[in-house]
Amino acid sequence: MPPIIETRDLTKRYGTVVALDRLNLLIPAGAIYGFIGPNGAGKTTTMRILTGLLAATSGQALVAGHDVAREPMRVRRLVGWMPDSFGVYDNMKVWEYLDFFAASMGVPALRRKQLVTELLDLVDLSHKRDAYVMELSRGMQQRLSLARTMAHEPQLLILDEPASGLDPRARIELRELLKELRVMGKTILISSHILTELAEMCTHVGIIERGHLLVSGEVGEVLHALQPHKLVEIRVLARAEQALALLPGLPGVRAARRVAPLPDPVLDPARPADDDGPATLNVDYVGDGTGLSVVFKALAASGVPVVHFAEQSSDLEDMFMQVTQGLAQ
Amino acid sequence: MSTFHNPVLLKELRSRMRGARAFVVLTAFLLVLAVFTLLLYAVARQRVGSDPLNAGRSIGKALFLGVAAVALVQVMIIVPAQAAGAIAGEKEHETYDLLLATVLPAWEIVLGKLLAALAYAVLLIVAVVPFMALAFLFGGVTATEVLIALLGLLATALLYGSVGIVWSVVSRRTITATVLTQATNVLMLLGIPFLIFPFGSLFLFGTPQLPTWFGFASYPFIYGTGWLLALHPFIALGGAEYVLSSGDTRWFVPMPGTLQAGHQIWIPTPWLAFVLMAVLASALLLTVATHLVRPVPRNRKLPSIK
Repeated sequence: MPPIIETRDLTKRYGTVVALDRLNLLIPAGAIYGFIGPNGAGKTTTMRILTGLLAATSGQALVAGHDVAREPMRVRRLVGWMPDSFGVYDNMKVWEYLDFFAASMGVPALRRKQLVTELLDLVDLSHKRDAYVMELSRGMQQRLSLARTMAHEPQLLILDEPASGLDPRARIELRELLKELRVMGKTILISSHILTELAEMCTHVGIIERGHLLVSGEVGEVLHALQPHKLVEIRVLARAEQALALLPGLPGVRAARRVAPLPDPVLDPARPADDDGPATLNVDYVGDGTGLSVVFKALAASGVPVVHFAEQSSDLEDMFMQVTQGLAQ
Repeated sequence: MSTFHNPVLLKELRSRMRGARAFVVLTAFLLVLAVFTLLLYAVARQRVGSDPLNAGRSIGKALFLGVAAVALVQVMIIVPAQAAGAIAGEKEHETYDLLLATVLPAWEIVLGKLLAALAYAVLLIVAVVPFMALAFLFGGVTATEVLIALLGLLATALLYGSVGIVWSVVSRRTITATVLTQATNVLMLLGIPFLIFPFGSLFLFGTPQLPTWFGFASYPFIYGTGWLLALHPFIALGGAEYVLSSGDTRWFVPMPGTLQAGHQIWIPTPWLAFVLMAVLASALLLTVATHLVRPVPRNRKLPSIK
């Protein structure tokens, strides 16, 4: 199956400013691809090239195998685009807004009536059918905008910072909606400079800065590649000191330390500071899952009562900071 | 996609006629026309007091000319103002890129916008008809004159609306587009007589000692100045009324050729020349506008009028 988005050495210059520098992006069909980067990194430029609104200086952009520059109309039928701003018309009702864009995408009049109802149902705006677009809340406008991108039933949705300016509730609703779209088989390219927005919903991720794609791939792979160090949290009921003595000698363990504070001897004089009670330990570990199970077995074999042994998941934010280190302005 | 299924036109018509604006503009337009008609009637009645025989005809003529002139001025102000906001407004509302990301071709967007502005112009012009019909009560005006006046108003709306569309495409803001449009129209109204006057006087008062190239150039000269004059609604439609009043309803009229005695050149009658020029100039302007339709550059210093 060909990738739904492929760019080959895609470059865009504005005078002397290089907005995109030989970008090679590959997004498989069915992915939710998080496009992460600070403001001005080139996310919007890439998206506008992919929608045919901007011509690349050099290189090639393909959507479902079609060259964006050579077959713009064909590509537009495949792509639903949502810019980072919500365009509103005066004196226009919600259903008219969707009907207008569906008509502009060539959806026949007979199909449009039913389509508008379906789209409003999908984004949960059926009750606002006859409301004026300008009177909707920001979250509702964003959902309507998302419905608009789907007015011609495209395969690929390109969403430019869809969650910016939304309150937490609207953000969660948007996330749920995107998951639903993925189930419907849509591929979604979604950009953000707020990393936590994308952390939970993406299958793939790409980090861009100053027009360079720093890293790209499946979220797990990228995390794995970027994070040879894992943080393992271990809780023991007792014998923390024994565990701390044992751990550094085990394969892959770089460091081990106690996290939970010791009981305060002043406030709690009944218990001595070195009381061998429950404790939480953090372990820096380099290696794979098999190696980690060896660590667990060794602890258990030595009689340490382990009640919790878990790899801490690190989020995109950590990853982003790690990747862009030194490149940030 | 046929014109009547043009989504842009449908959208514009739907939202334009909604809300108070269309109603207020139409009401103001008719009020101005009504007040003017009443004043004109009062003045005309006083002036013809001494000549009761032709009183009706004179009042009818005065009312017709007055209403036509005021309607012309209003169409020249309102239609380009509407057209100027057509595409610049999309940019202001941040919907322009959305529109360009659809499969609508540029010409369909431009045509939809123009037709919407013209539809409103037709509404204004239809509203003028009862005022012009008042003239029939007094006589002195033929149906041909009224029909040609209405056609002239429509052609003016087309020409001035097209100017508005071009500026709307190149401007980022409605206010800029409106100022540029009205400036262009004022420039046309004042500039054409200004250009024609020196040549015209040379032509009219010229002596046989004129250089020979002038004589050779007489055909292009006459047609050139004629076509230029035909772009001026007041001169062209005023000329048309002058010709029609004299009972001449021919579509082509002879004109004496310069320097060659007895030589005649046939030229289209002023209203025909005006309509032809308005259609041709509009077609040219709309072609230019279609080629200039392109996405708004974002935050970059690219050539575009703010």
